[in-house]
Amino acid sequence: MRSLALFFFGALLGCGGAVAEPDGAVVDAAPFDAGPLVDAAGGDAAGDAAGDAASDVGEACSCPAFERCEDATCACDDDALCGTRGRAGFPLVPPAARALVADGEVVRDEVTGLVWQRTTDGTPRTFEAARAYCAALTLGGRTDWRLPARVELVTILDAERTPSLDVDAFPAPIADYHWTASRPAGAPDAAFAIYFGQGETVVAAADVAGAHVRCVAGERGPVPASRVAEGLVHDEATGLAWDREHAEGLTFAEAETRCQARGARLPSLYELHDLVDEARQAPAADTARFPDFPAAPFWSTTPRDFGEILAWVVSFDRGESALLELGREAAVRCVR
Amino acid sequence: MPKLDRRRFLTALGLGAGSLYLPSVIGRGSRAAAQAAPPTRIAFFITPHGMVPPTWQMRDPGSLATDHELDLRGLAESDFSRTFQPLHSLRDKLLILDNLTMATSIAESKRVRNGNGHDGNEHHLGQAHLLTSTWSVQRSGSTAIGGGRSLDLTIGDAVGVPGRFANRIYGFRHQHPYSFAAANEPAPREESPSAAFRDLMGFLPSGPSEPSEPAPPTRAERLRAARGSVLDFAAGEFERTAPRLSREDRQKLERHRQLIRDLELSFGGPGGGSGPVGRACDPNVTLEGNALRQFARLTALAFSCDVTRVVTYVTGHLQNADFGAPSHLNMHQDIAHNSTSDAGGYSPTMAEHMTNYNRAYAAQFATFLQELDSVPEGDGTLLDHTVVVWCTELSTGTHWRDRMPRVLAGGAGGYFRTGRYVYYAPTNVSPFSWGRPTDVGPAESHLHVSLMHAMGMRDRDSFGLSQIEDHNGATISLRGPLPRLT
Repeated sequence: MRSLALFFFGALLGCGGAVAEPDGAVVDAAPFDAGPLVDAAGGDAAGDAAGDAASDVGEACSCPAFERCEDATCACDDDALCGTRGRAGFPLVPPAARALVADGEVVRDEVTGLVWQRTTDGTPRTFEAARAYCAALTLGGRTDWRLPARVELVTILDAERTPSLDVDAFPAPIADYHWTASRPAGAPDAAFAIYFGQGETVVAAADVAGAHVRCVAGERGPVPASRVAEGLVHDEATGLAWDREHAEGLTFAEAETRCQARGARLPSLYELHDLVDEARQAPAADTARFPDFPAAPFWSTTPRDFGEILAWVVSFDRGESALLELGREAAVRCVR
Repeated sequence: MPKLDRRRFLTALGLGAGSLYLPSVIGRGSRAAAQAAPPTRIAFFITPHGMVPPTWQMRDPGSLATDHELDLRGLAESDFSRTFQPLHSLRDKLLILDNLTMATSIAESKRVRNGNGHDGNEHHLGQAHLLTSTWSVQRSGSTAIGGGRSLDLTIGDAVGVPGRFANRIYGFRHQHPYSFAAANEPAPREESPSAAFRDLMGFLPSGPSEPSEPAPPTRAERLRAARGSVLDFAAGEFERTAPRLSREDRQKLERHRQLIRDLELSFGGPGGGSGPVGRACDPNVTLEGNALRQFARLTALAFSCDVTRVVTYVTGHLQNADFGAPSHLNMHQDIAHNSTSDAGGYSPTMAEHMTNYNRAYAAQFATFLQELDSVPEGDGTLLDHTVVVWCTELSTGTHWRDRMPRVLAGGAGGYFRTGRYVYYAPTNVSPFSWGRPTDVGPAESHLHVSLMHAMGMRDRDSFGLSQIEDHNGATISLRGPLPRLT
């Protein structure tokens, strides 16, 4: 099923037409969904992603974020999923570098361009009820409210504290689970939620009224190209350059050492979340850009002080996050 | 894992001996304790989240407005609450307490909500207060954490024997720690059973250089070495290496085990030991099974050998498959948060999953108790001379902190009258009106005082905060033991 509105939006933007780099590197102008999507039955069709990515090069177009390019137009397979999956179209900065400006009933994020509902109503809802609530919301003179995508809600997460967000920008927050609009591959009755009582991202049952809602407004914008060159994936939206290689079985200190030796660093939790591809599972990642991506926890450099210092990891089995003791082992993908 | 070779094997047998070490306190402790009555011990068994009141509380004919109790000993398994049915076989040794309140934690919720920028997460507050019963440390920009020396360490201070461990903390991490040396200073916790064993028994593995081939030992050397190897080899090396031993080496091993028995006789004196601890202290621990079973055995070992008298065990997290819940459900958001009828997303299905979750932990608790109960000691068992406290940081998955589920097992040497289900009528107004009834049962702080008294600390009349204010500003005294336990 295609979205007519997105079709016109895509047509207005036109096809950006990714080109091949002189050195032969692949230019991938499409977001995650450019690769084969998980089919309706939840099967993972990511196995041939590398080949498909190559074939996309000549026909990619500049679509709104989270949509995919097909036949030179922007489209999605399921309206319920449009706009809810994929990479961020904006920098993913740590809490200290954010620019959240309270403006009456809303909060404007001057880094991402998103506008947030400032206070929530304290009512836990099912996933569908949450979507309906946002769609019906009129606030701050706007009516274009929607449930945030996972990577959007991550931009107001502060996983080092409880409540896990900026309490000056968002006063008296509900430090509990909040729905995202993103649904994981292979779990049609589930959706991602973020726990603002601690910071983790989880997959939860969509039909349980167990999470709260903080709506967002604002254009998602096109996802700029990501470019693969010299063993790195350059992401223009976030400004990050990721190692295509990874290492497994490292402690936190070993992971840090590895990154330093490569002239790189460990990613933050927020940056690492951008590598999650909800359209895939095990791994929940784009294997065209990152071959042999293991469905394993990856270290972030974002800490959590629970009396002992822990670090956040993102598991690329489904894209959830958790805390891990520094002496345990996880995988690492360095970033610059 | 240490490499197994002939030299190491001989060393482990006590025939190489140079690299082995056993704190002399073990032998002294065994001999000294053999002369006396069994000491009283305490263990805390901590599981995460909370329970489902209608399925952990007994079908109790009494009025909720008045104190009353049930005799557990005459109840059939079908009469037990569904959550606690796995404990039915141990009912004579249980003391189930209904309607305690984690009052200090609720009082802090009131303070936090009146302030700004504080961590009011009920899990975090529950974890901070569970064993401290005092204001948490609110760390700016971070989380709330325990604000004082915890009960387990405090009891260890009082009952620990010089030269031995005052307490041991085993198991896993829920979120924040429960045990604290001081405010914002978590006490060390050991997650590895094998490391815990080495720690208990004073086993020091061989250094980088392997010992040289030993000369034939004298009998005195064999005994001295064997005392060291008794406790390290039998449990540590045997468990790891036995499957790979040759027939000849197995025979050597058996001879070594006989030597251990001889030593135990020597500890206890002629006739197999005159005291109960000498007989019960069996270092031949096999670290088999899951972590719970291993830690249960280690606790039994530590208690029976009087290496420590206080153990805190933090259980591991359950996977959904462990309690029959579908894998797509998130344990915290989907199940726990919707398991009581006051939850927005309540469903009987989630309550059922939460009940099964706690039944699984009840089965673990039963395993823990059975390990202690399997060790004869004096005229009873090790469990009889211990009190094991099953506690949770919350009352329910929906963050209640009144009607806390609490199970005491073992009589602490006859201090507690077991075989009973004791209900406490509401006696206090809650410190904070937060959607729960304001008439609540006695503060758990009183139970802490009772536990200290059971461990011989009779001069203590409070632990942590000694008073708080109720919702109306009246004083709630937290002094004195919990009535009706002895």
